[in-house]
Amino acid sequence: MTLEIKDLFFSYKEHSVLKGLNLSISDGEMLSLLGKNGAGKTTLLRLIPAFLRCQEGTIEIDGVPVRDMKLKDRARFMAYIPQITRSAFPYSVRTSILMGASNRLSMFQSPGRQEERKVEEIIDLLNLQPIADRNMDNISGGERQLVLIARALMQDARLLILDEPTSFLDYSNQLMVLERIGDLVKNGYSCIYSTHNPDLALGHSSRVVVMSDGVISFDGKPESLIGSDILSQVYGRTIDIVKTERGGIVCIPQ
Amino acid sequence: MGEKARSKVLILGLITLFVSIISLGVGRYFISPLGIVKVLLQGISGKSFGMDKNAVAVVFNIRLPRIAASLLLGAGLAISGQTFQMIFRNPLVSPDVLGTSTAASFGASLALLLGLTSVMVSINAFFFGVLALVLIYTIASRTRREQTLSLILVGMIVSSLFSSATSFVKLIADPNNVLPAITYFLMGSLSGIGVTDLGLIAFPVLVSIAVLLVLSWKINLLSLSEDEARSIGVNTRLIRAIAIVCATVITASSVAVAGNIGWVGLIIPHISRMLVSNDARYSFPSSVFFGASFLTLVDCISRAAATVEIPIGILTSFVGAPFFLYLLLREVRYDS
Repeated sequence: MTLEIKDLFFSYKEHSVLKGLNLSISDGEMLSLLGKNGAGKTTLLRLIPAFLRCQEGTIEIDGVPVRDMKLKDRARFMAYIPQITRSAFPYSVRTSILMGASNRLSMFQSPGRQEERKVEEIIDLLNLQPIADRNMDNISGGERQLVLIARALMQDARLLILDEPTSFLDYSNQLMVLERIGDLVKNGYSCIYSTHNPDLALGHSSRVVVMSDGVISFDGKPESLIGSDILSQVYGRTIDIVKTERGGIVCIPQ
Repeated sequence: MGEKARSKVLILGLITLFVSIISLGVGRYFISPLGIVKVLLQGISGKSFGMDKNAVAVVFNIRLPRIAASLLLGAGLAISGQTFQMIFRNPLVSPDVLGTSTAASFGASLALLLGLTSVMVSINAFFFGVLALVLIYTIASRTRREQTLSLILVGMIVSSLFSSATSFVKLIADPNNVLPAITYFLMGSLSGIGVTDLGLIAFPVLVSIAVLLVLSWKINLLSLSEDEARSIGVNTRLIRAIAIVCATVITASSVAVAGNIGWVGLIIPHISRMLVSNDARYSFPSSVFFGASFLTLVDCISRAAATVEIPIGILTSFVGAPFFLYLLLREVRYDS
């Protein structure tokens, strides 16, 4: 499955956010999105599943425009996972995951044994057994992100779109969530996520995309950023990107 | 979880049956629960089970329509309240959130002012309740805000208009006979309900309850954020519209025959969520049974507690408000 974004333009009234953006994502890619506040990261992530309508340009999956797809068909290709989810009526982890099956059910149908069995498989896959019986308001932020990812898997979505999945998590949870996503990507899923933490982006992605002023100013492997001044230009201060002795890549602001 | 919740729903169903049988016996003419079973068998089969004909007449002609109405409206108001709470993602919402009850109250008051028959009072109340919904939906769809927020805002405006209109009707009503009739009607009572009223509301209320029960899984998704529901691939607009129509039909039907009965639609969903689950697949049926038992029980008290019948709307508040307060305090203690 390939997602192809071509010449994307988007503006909120007079304020132009995306100015001719081009990007493609294929199976097995984990793409991190960096950029300053207001660079258009969230707008881009909301445009992909057609939550917003672009003024110009196309977003296609294997040649089919996303906006022409039915809502339930779109849900089988991609899942959007928001930053924060708080339900007024928190459901159990199992029920929350089960909700991902809804796109395959008719209007008046409830999930049955088959869907419940699939939930158990996904719980096993993501090692969610310890929290499976708890309510969504009784688990940590990191675990909540994993449950939402589990729900995306329940949808059969192959592309995971995550808007700042680590922003409200402690450091170990940030790593845990990105590592689990990394495992899924190794198994053929693809993922695009935005982050404000360049270190996480460099350590947990196969491609880093840097956005500035409505266009992509860098798109490449994390290693290609070593020694470059792209991040310095984007964030407006000197940032050294270096390789550690153990092979990791880190940012050091000067 | 599923099995446990299902058993709880079953127990609530049995409690409802028990409460119904007890209620059929309570009143000036007391009949024991065993006697009620015999009366029912005698009335249905036509064979004699040793019960007095008067007992059969009291149960079948007077109490059964009233208790059927209390079961139906209790169940309906509870599920309607819960539906609105889930749609508006707010546990403090009640069935009159969109102003349907206020509009239906105006319809009833207007019909009473014009001296129409009791059937016309009910039909008029129902008509205005549904008219309010059509107005709200039409106006809300023209705004550019998020749909749920526009519905709430427009609902408040429409509700306020109908509330003023009701006050105006009261102002010009004859203070000797029409005004008291309007006031008493609006207090909420099941005392005047007969077979005709029951016949008017039974079909729309039962169908609406059935639709909401069947839709319960999808209504769960309405309490998620709009982005999440869309990402899952569910058309929330259609589900929301069906759910709102059903919940409104129930609310308007309730006002049409029984006036304003508060609290049922607010507290029963809380109790069923607390006791059973947040998952509407289980909390909806438990609300239906809980609401039916609660209203029937309160109606029993309203019939038996004093020589003069107390309007049920007053009693539901007397029972509901302290209970809600208890829940609130319990929750605070639990959190701390």
